Amino acid sequence: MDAGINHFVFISAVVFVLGVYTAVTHKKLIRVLLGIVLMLMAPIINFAALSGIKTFNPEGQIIIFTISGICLVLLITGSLLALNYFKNSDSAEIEGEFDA
Amino acid sequence: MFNLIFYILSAVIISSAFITAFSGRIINSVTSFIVLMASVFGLFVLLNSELFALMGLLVLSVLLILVLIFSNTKYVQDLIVNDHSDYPKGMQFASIMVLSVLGGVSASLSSSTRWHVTWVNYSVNSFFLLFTDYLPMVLMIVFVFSVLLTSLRYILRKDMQAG
Repeated sequence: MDAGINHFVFISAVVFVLGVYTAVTHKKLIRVLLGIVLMLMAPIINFAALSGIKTFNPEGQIIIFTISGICLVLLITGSLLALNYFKNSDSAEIEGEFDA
Repeated sequence: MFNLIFYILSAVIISSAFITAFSGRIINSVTSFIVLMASVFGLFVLLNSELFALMGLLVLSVLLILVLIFSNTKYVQDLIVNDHSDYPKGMQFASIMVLSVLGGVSASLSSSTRWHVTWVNYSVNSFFLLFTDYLPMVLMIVFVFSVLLTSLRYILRKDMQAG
């Protein structure tokens, strides 16, 4: 069976769903960050598939570049925030932090 | 060939995503996340996006070094500080050489357009250019990477022992 666009969309959907699950169900900040980055990876896979599966499309590459930059900034900022939160509170969990 | 590589990479992506989501230990999640990122960048190479694959590899290597430096887990500290004298010295040297070879190949791919031509024409002749025309640059990059990795490991060990 030839790998077509549907296969890439399926992989992207699986990665996105697992990212949502990781971000929603875990208490540790690092895991939440990993889930958010997984959610950002899914559309990157989609754009790469749509732009390059048969022919080269430069517009898709530009969008991949933009999303990759956003993902990198979010990863670095999230890591620094998590480190700062860990230093101040001696805990890496966010459960109960936003309770009213 | 395209389908085989695609199915292997997709299996690695899905399995590592499951491990990232459902693993009990954070270090296992982070390790599987790094494997997932590397396989996604391999998928980019299949989709004619070699430049972004190499950019992602560079970013991933920087993040890996940051994780090693700033990590407070006892597991990573134990890996860095302890000498693991039960491992033979040749194996440690071989692991550093393997990592540096990977770094050298990825850097040589960034200066070559033959990778894209290979996947379009489904030909393996272009791979041998890495070992003929680009061999001096690959050797130099391998040497530089091995020196960098060894010095980084030495610095981290000294810092952990002092602190």
